[in-house]
Amino acid sequence: MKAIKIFFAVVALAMISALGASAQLPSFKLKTLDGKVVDTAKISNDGKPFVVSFFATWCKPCIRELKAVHEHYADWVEETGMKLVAISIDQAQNANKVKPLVASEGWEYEVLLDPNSDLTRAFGINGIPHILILNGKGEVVESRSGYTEGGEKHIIEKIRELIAKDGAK
Amino acid sequence: MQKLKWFVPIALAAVIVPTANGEDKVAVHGSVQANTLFPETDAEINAKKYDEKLLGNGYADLGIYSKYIDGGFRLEYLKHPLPGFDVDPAFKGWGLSNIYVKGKYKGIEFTGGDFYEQFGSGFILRTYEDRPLGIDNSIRGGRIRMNALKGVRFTALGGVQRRFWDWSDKRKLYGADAEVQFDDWFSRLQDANVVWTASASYVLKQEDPALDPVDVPGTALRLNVPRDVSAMDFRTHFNRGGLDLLGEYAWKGSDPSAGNGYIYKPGNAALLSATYSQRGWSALLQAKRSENMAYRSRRATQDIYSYINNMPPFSYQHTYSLAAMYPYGTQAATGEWAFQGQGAYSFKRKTALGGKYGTKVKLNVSYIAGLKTVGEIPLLNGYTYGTDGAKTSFFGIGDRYYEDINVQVEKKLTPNLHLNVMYMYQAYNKTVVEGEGGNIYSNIFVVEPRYRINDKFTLRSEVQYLHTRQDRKDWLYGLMELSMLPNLMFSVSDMWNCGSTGTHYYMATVTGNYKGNRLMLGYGRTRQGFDCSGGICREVPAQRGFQVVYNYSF
Repeated sequence: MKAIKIFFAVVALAMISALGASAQLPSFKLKTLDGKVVDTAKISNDGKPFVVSFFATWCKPCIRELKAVHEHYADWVEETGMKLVAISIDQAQNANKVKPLVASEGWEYEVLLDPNSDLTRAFGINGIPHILILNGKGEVVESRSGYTEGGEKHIIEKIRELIAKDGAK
Repeated sequence: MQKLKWFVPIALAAVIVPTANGEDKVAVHGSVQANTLFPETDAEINAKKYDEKLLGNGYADLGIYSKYIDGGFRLEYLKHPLPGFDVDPAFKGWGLSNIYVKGKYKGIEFTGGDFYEQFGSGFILRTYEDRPLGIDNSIRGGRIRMNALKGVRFTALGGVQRRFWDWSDKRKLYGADAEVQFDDWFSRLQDANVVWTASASYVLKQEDPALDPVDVPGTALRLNVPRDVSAMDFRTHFNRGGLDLLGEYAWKGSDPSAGNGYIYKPGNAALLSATYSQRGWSALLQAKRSENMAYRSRRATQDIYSYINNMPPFSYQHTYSLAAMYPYGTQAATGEWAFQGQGAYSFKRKTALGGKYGTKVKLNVSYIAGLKTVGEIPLLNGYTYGTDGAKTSFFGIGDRYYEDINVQVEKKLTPNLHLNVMYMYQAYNKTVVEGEGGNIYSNIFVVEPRYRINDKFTLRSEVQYLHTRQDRKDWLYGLMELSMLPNLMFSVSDMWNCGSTGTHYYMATVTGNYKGNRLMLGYGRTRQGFDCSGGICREVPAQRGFQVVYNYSF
């Protein structure tokens, strides 16, 4: 029982310490689908909000969510200037299956490969699909796991809200 | 654990001191995960009795990230783990399982503590964490990464590999990897839109021969096992537009171990992969030959927990329950020839096959076979111990281990109705993968409609049928899932062994998501079987009970 108590005490401490901390993308060197290296700390969207979505080629709800976003993506980009960065957590040996998937679906997202789960682990992500919504400063304003059908609408609502907030300042 | 005592305060100080200056932006992220089961006995499915009322695996992670310094730790609570995780009782335990500090300055990065690393496709090194499989074979030690020269990336590491709660320093692991990016040097390649890299890696395992001495059964002979086992890997990756090519070759030195029957022959593996993708269609073809590539940090182990490397799986990772019933486990020790082909094509809207909203067709073919042996297998008193093992020919393809041909069609029928269907033929050599049972040939059919009732509710269902004359014969599976915006999902399912025992494996779940929180409550039965990820499998015992699964990440 002592073990459990200590465990939960530390967990509680960890949660408290997280409150109020500003967030930005930790720095890792990930590759694009073409094999170029990108520093994740440099991911931004020229001061506009953006979305980071963690997925894998074998994860059906992830693909459903990315497909659902894809149906509106061109409109959303035009309206708000947002963008979506998709992070594949496929293992290195499956990484060559990501590009065919992205191409055959016609997705226009920026896609990065995280085969060693560096960025995924840094965000404490234990299950996919998982999305992060970031404001123009690159701070995480929302972190959400799982996909509920139709949930993609929440993404654009949140983005609009962030833009309205920035505009009001 | 004792050794960590000095490390914890240093690590925390290293992270907190510079961040307290307020010069850098600091990010804090972490997570909490608890998977629990209130087990019940169930004679019909053979779910056994547990002393504990509650079983569970718990994890908490915290990480701090700044411009020059990162650090983090993980606590694991696995004292009363979920069914099947304690196949090796050493799995049980709790405490600080991972702690590290990382310093970064001008393209040079140093990590001290626990870390994960992978070289190339993982032929000679892949350490990773996979909670559903109970795997965490991280390295405790140091790692340096350098990106100081343009177009050259270098990594070197050394340490000991975790096995459950053991970080004994009697077995050591070292590795180095260098990657050269040609297009950073030659503008002509950039102009041609080419990205081209070549890499080489080296890994060394050191294990004191006095640990786990090996005697040939029934004789007075003791094997002279090597202390050092080296492995090398060379690869090149080429990309231009839609074309992507990868070639990789690996070699492993003499490594007599329980996994290969203590033979002395070196191992090797070769992989060729080609993909071509364009908007709307893609194709992938790959082939792999591997022999004697089970590379573990502890020669006496035969399980999935002490691998240094990970051989790429060539089977499709199925998520439909019945398609995943006979999953293939990679045969790293004996070796295999494996082939995989995939194609996807989207028929455009308003064409004959595309219909009003377009149609997508995907084909996957996997064929995995053993290596063809030449001549007699050399034996010493009836055992392979101390010999070079069976001779093989490079191009000789032996018995079929696994075959999977599946076609999937995705179609939007109306603005609110989507339909996915799949047909799959599978041949599974149960004797090779599980030790007995012969060949199982099955035909699997899946129909998955999804209907958006209104802006709030969506109904998704699955009907799956598996037909086979072998093993436990036919299975029927049905699932209904209702999702309710913004954050609830209800599902009920039943997997029915209609061809033989008549057993029902029912399950009902409710899942709620709120921001970074996810809570799943479920009740039902789980079939005895194998849970596989990336060709690595864990045997899951039959179980029944109430499940509570909670995840929080921030």
